[in-house]
Amino acid sequence: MAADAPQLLRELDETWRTLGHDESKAEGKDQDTGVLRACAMTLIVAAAEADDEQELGAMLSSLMQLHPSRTIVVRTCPHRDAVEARTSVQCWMPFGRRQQICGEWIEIYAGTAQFGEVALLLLGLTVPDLPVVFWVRHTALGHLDALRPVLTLATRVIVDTSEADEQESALDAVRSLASGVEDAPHPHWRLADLAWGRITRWRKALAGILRNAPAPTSGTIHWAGEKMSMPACYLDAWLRSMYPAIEIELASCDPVRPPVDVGRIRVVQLNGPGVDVRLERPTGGTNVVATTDGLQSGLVFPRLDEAALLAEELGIAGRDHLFEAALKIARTG
Amino acid sequence: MGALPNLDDPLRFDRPAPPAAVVIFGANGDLTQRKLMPALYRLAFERRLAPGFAVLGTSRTAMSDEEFRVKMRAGVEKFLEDSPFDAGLWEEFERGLYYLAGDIAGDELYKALAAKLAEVETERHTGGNALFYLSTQPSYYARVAEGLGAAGLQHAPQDGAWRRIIIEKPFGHDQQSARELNARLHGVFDERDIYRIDHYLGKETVQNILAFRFGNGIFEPLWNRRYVNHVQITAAENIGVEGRGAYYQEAGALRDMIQNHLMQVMATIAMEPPAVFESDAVRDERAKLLRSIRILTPEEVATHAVAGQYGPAQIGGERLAGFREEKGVAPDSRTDTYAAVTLFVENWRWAGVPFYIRSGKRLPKRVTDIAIQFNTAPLSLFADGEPGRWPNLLVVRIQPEEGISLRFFSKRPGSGMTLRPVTMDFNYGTSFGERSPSAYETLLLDALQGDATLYTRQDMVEASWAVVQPILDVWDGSQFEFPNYASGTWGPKQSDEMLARRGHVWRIP
Repeated sequence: MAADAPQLLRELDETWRTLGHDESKAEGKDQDTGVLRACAMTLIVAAAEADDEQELGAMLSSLMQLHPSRTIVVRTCPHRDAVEARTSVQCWMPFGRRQQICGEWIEIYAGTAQFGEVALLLLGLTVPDLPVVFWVRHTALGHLDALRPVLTLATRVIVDTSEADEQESALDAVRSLASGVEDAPHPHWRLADLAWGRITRWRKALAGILRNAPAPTSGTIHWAGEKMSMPACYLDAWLRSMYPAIEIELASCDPVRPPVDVGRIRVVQLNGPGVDVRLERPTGGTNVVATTDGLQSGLVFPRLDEAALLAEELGIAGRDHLFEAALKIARTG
Repeated sequence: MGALPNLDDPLRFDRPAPPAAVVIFGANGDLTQRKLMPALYRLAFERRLAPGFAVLGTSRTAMSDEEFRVKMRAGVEKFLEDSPFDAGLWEEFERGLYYLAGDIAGDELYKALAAKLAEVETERHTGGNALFYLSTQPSYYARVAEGLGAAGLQHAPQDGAWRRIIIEKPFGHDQQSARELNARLHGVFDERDIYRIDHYLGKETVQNILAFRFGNGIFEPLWNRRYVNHVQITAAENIGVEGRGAYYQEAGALRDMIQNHLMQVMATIAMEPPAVFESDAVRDERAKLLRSIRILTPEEVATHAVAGQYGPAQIGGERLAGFREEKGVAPDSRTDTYAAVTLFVENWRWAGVPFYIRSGKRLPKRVTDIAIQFNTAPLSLFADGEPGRWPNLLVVRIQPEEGISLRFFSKRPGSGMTLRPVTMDFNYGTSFGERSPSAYETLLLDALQGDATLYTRQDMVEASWAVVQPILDVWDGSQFEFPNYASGTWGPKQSDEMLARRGHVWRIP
């Protein structure tokens, strides 16, 4: 159907009424059953037409259970000449409960030429008084000027450069989007990159090991895949922001690029007077061996999917100064 | 060397634990296998432990390091709750497990322990930090502390390192023995190094009480005698003593639950806001609240405290034994398997507001919650006097389903002004979706990090004993007509009568 915000909200209202009525009739009671409408934010997802609908839906559904939201998926379909939309609800039954929890779901299909119209539509669809999170699933979309009006709705903008092939342009895009953050004293949104979230566990492991250690003076970061890994790029930037004098060698150690959820960083080695640290992850493994001054210990780095990374980002309140500092000095080689 | 950078990321990293050795006394016992080792393994899984981490278990049973590791693995695999077992991680983790057999009553164990701990420190780089966990009979607490003191183990071998001791409740059997225990512990350890574990305080919902009260602006203005009518704290179990009859006979519900867990919960609900969220500031407020509870006179005990004991019952075709028929329990036992007390806090915030606390075994269900009942609207504008029957109620559920609910009135749809009570529910599990750490994970990590916020302090223990002791003294000299409640009921009728004197009734959780 053609998209109209009041009409879409009326449809959602009607769905709630029907659901509540059906559920309570099915249970034969008017309390403790039925459905619970849960919403902690509006989550706008900018997805491409080529994105697997089922995969994206499953991922967002699992995210919704951690962060209940009104999820609005905007699919860009270059050849479409009208904006269309449909509504539904996503429900889940928590273990041991009789009451379903449901979140609202709106899918919008639009050509890039209609993005101005989409922005107006979104203005009418956000949940009042709650944060608006805008996840630009493909960084290239962030370049679209038409998206700027949509971005201004957001309290938080999330991108993912993990799989970017052109690191320079990916970094440029991220920095460009971050300009909303740089516009102090009136930043419109806070920017997050899921590629930064992919190195949280590496940073945490290193922080634990290096807490009272002397500053390392040299280091190596190795990754799998021919092109530079963005998480490796961020890890390098973080280390340099912490240890300004450190010299870090960045190199690929394996031409085969692993699946994105496995992670591409293989080895982090830091050395200096009184410090000798090596974190190494075998090919495709989830266990990482940490060697500190000859003493070995084990860590588990489970596979990271988008839902886990988004959950991490959505769990953060306030500006991420460490990411902003790393983004400023990030380099791609 | 210049200043070291702060590598922590408070937005994303959990608080780090320093390298340390955890020395468990009673390592062959049930608590170690069921709770402590799964909690430590889970902390390793969550990458909350430092690489330099070790566990040194000790008990009377002869065992090699390897046998200890096998036994601990079996325990972790069996008792690990809501998380997977990772064999690869275990291989790494178990390298840090060591064992030493010995008699905690003798002196030799402590000398051997000093030598073994030094070895472990060298091998595992634990930095000289050690956390002594006493998972033993309470009667050995003081002996173990003194044994550690005689071997010089209370002092860390180097500057900046620490030595701490954790003990489990009960912290004394009565006020006098609690003071004696404290005195003997203080003969070896400073109070700041003594961690008295109360696993109730480690529960997420109990911690959330502080967030709820002091992180929101709308509740605290109502949190006083002007708006609160009374408070009910309930800790009910549907099981009996389940093989712990001999222990329980010496304890009873008042000692086992109310003196420690529930009074700490009450202190958390009723305390004043601390100036800062720091360990001693929070504990100062809890202690102040406990000291503000009016001590009952012997005459008041009869009307402000009720003891009960469950009798046999036939439930679902099965005959359930009465307490006096349980294994290890004397046939004329006078132990309270149910206790209810009415307490008053003598400060400006709470003067005149009754706090009803009850705990019992073989009640209809397992539930722990706190209900804050507010005053009714000053005028009843609507028909039926409905709001008088269903006053606003804020319920903080601690178990089994952690959450908070608020009951208020809403108009029924249609013509006329008929009201119906409805609830607004917050459920921890469904709202956050993520796994809550077990109380032992939280508390062990806190102890490793030197955060005693959720541990009870000497003055808190003594203040709660000061409240309970007069009741125990009267009960010790009383004749009860036990059993006085049937299994599967909500306790003795005297308990209902205690509330009825003030026009209140126990809610059914």
